[in-house]
Amino acid sequence: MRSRKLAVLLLSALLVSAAVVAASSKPTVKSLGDALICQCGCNQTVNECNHLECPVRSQMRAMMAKEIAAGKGETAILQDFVLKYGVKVLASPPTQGFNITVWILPGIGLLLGLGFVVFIVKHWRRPPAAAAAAPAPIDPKVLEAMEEEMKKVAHP
Amino acid sequence: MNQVGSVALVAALAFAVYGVVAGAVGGYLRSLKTVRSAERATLAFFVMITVAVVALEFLILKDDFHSAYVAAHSNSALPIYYKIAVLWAGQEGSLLFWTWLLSIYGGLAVLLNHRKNRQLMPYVVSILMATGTFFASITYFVANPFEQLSLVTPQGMTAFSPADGNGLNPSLQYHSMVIHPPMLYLGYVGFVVPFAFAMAALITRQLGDNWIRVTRRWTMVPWMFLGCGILLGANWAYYVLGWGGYWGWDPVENASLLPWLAGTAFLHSVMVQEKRGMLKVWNIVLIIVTFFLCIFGTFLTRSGIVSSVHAFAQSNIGPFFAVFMALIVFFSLTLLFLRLDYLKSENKLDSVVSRESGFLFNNWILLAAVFAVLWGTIFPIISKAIESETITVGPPFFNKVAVPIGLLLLFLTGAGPLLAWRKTSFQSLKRNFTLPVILAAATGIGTLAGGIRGLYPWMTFVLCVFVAVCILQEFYKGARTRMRIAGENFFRAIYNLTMRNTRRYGGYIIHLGIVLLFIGFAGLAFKSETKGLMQQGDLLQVKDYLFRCQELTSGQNPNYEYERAVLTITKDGQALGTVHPERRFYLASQQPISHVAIRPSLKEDIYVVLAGQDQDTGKAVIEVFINPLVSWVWIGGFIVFLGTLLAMVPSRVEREMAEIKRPSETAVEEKHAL
Amino acid sequence: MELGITFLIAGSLALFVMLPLLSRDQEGQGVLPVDVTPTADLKRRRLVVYENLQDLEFEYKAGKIAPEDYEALRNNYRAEAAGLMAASLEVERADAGEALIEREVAARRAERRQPPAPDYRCPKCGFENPLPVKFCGECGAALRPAKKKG
Repeated sequence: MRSRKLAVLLLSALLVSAAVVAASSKPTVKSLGDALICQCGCNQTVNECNHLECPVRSQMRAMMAKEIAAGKGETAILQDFVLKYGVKVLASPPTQGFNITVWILPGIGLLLGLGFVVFIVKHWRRPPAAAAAAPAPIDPKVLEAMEEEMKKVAHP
Repeated sequence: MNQVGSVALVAALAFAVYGVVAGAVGGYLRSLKTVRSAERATLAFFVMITVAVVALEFLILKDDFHSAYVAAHSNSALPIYYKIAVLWAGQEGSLLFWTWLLSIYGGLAVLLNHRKNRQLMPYVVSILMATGTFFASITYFVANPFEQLSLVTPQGMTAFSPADGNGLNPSLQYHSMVIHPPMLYLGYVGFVVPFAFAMAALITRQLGDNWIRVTRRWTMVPWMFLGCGILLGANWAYYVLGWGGYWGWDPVENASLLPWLAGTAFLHSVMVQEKRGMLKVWNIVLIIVTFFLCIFGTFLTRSGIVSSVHAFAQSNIGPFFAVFMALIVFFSLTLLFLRLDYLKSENKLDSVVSRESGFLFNNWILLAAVFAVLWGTIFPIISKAIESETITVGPPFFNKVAVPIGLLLLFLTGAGPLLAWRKTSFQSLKRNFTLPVILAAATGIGTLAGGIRGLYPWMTFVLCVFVAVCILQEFYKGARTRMRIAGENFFRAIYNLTMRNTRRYGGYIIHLGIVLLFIGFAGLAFKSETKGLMQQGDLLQVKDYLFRCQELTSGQNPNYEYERAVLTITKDGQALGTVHPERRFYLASQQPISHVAIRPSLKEDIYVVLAGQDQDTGKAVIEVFINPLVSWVWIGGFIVFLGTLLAMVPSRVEREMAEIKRPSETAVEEKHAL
Repeated sequence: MELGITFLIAGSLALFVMLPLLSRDQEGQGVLPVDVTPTADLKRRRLVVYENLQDLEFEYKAGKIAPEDYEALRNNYRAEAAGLMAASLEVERADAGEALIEREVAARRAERRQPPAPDYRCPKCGFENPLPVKFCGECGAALRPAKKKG
C-alpha cells in the first residue's frame, strides 16, 4: 500500500514539473539559437557556431532579437527564418511530409525492439510446470564427484 | 624517404594478402606449418607498416614540404609534439595510422593467442589480414601519404617544394588533440579482434563460449579506448570551440558514439552466454554490428558524405569503403546463417524478472539508441536522395530522442544488477529496492521543494540517486556479509569482495562513473551565458562573480599572433584568481581561433571567451558562460576508465579456468613456437 | 641507402615468413591441435555453475535473496552441475573404452606384423591363396604380388 501511495506521489510530481516546463517556453535569442543552424557553412547551431566574429551569425541573431521584440511567437519566427534561408536553417527537420519519418522511426524502432524482447522472453520461458517440478534425484556417484570438485574451488 | 614509405606499404600489402591466403589454406588443410607462416605474416605486416609510419614521421619532422602531405598539414614553426600529431591530422596520414594500429592489434592478438587457440588462429589471421589488406591498399592506391608535389610546366612535370607548409589546422593545436585521435582510433580499430575471433569460431564451428572468454579483454580494451577518445574529444570541443558546450551531436561525434553503444551492449550480453549459455546468436550479431559501425564511422568521417566540423576533406575513398562494408555484412551474415544449428541456447529463461531479461532490456535500450542516433545521422543523406531537399538534423532532434532513452538506460544501470540470475521474486525485489526507492523519492521531493526547473534534469537527479544508492548498497551489503562470515574488517572486506569478482564490482564502479556523467549532463540545463564589452578597468557582473578587466595585451610568437585579456574574478569580495582568454591568429594557416579560459570547479565552471572587438566602441567582447557541474563529466569518465581497468583483472573463476590444461599447450607446442 | 635498407628488411621478413613452409618437419602436419576437449569444456562449464552457486550463497547470506528463491535456484544450479558432471563421467568412460579398443587394435596389429603375412588374396573372388602364385587357384584371375606396406 505504502509503495502505491509513493508511486502516485512520484507520478504527480512528474506531471507538475512537466507542466512547469511547458509553461515556461517563451522564445529568447538563446532558445532560438539552439533551434536554428548558422548559415555561414559551419553546420552548427547559431549558438554553437565557432566561426569567430561570424557575420552570418550576428545577422541571424539580430533578426531573432528584432522578431522577439516585435512580439512574435517561436513558430512564427522559425517560419520567417525558413522563408529567408530555406528548410535547412532548422536544426531539426519539420514534422511534416517525408521528414516526419525522422521523428517517428526511432519511436517505432524502440517499440519494435520492445515487442521483440517481450516475444523472446515469452518464447524462451521454461514452462512454469517444468520449473516448479522437483529436480530429479542425482546419481550418488555423480554427486560425490561433484561435491569433491566443489570443495576444491570453494573459497570464502 | 617517400620511396621508402611506398615500398614499405607495398611490402606490407603483400604480407597482408599472403596472410589472408595462407591463414585460410592452413586452416582448411589443417597444416601447422602453413598456419605458422601465416601468423608470421601478421608480424611482418606490422614491421612494414611501422617502417612506413617512421618514414612519414621522418618527413614531417624534417619539414620536407616536397611531400604533399607534409606541405598540406604541417609547417616549420609548429612545436614538435604537434608535428608528431600531424601523422593523424589529415586523411592520408590518418589512414596509415589506422593501418598501423590494426597491425599492432593483429600482431599482439597472434602473439598472445597462437599457443592457446590453434584451431581459431588460422582464420583469425585471415580476417585480420583481410582488414589489413583493405586499409593498406586504400592507403597505397587511393590516399597515399607519400605523394610528392610537382608543377606542370611547359617542359613537363617538375618537382615542387613550397617554402613552408600550410600548417596544422589551428583548432587541432590543443594538447588533448595529440592524444584524442590515437585513443579514438585504438577504439575503432580494436574491435576487429573480437570480430575476427567470432568469425573464426563460426568457420570452425567452435561455438561454445571459448571465443567469448578469449576476446573479453580484447573487447574491453577498445571499448575503454573508444570511451576515452569520445570524452577527450568532448573535452577538446569544450576547451577549443568556445561555444561553452562539449557535445554538439555532430555526425562525426555520433559516428564514434555508435560503436561504443553497440560495444556496450555486446559487453553486457556476453555475460548471459558465459553464465547461462544463452543469447549465442545475438552475441555474434552484436559483434558484427559493432565492427560494422566502427568501419561505418571511419567511412562517415572520411568520405565527405555528411558535412561536419570534424570531417576530412572530400575524397574518393567512399566507394571503396562502401564495398568493404557490403562485404563485411554479406560474409558475416552468410556465415552466421550457415552455422545457426550450432548456436542453440543451452538454457531456458526461468522468469521474466531476472538478470537475464534485465540484460535483454539493456540491449534493447542500447540498440534503440544506436538506431535513433544512426537514423538521425544519415537522415539528411536519405532526405536529399528522396526529397532532393537539404535539411539538417541537429542537436534539438538528438536531445529530444536521446534524453528519454538515456534516462531509461540510467534506470537500468541501477536496477539491472540488483536482479538475481534466473529468477527474482517480489520478496527479493523488496529487499533490494526499498532503500534506493525511498532515497530517490526523497531527493525528488527535496529538489522540487528546492525549486528545480525542468523535468529532465529533475528526473536525472532522482535516477542518479537511485542508481548510486543501488550500487553503494551492493558494496555495503557484500562487505558486511564478508565481515560477518570471514571476520574481516571493512576495508579488507571491500577489497576481497572486489578482487573475488573484479568483473562485477569493476562493472559497478563503471556504473557509478556513468552516474557522475549523467549528473554532469544534467548540469547543461542550467548553464547561463552573458556578454559584455570591456576595456581596461571595466567591471562585469555575472551571477555571483565580478570580473574586472586588468589589461588587454597582444603579442606574437613564430606560430601565431595573439590578443589577450587579463581578467580578475572576485566572488563576494574574495579574489578567485585571474583568467587569460586569448584570440590567436595562426600565421601558417592564416586562421583565427579563440583560446578559451576556464576556471573549473566541482560546482560550476567559469568559461570566458574573448570573442573579438566591438566595431563601434573598440572594446573587447567578453563572453562568460557559467556551466554548472561540467567537471563531473570528466570525473565520471575517469571513474569509468578506472572501473574498466579493474574489471580487466582476472577474477577467481577465470584463474581457476586457466588451470585447466589445454591439450594444445602441451605436446606439440614446444616444438612449434612461433 | 634508406631504400636499400627497406628492401633488406622486406626481404628478410619474407624469408622469416616462408621459413616454416620449408621446414621438413612432418610432425605438425595435419594435426592442428584441438583447443577445447569435451572434458575441458564440461569442466569449465561446471566451474561457472559452481561460481553461480557460490554467488547465490553469498547473496543469500547478504540478505538479498528471499529464502524460497534461494532454495529453488540452489536446487536448479545443483541439478545443472550434476548434469554436466554426469556428462563428464560419461565422456571419461567412453574415452576409457576407446583407449581399450585402441590398445586391442595395436596388439592385434603387432601380432599380425610378426610373420610378414604374404597376401595372396584374390582381388576378384576374394579367395585366400595359401601359396605364392601368380594366378588365383580358385578363379584363375591374375594376382599382383603384394607390396610391403610402409
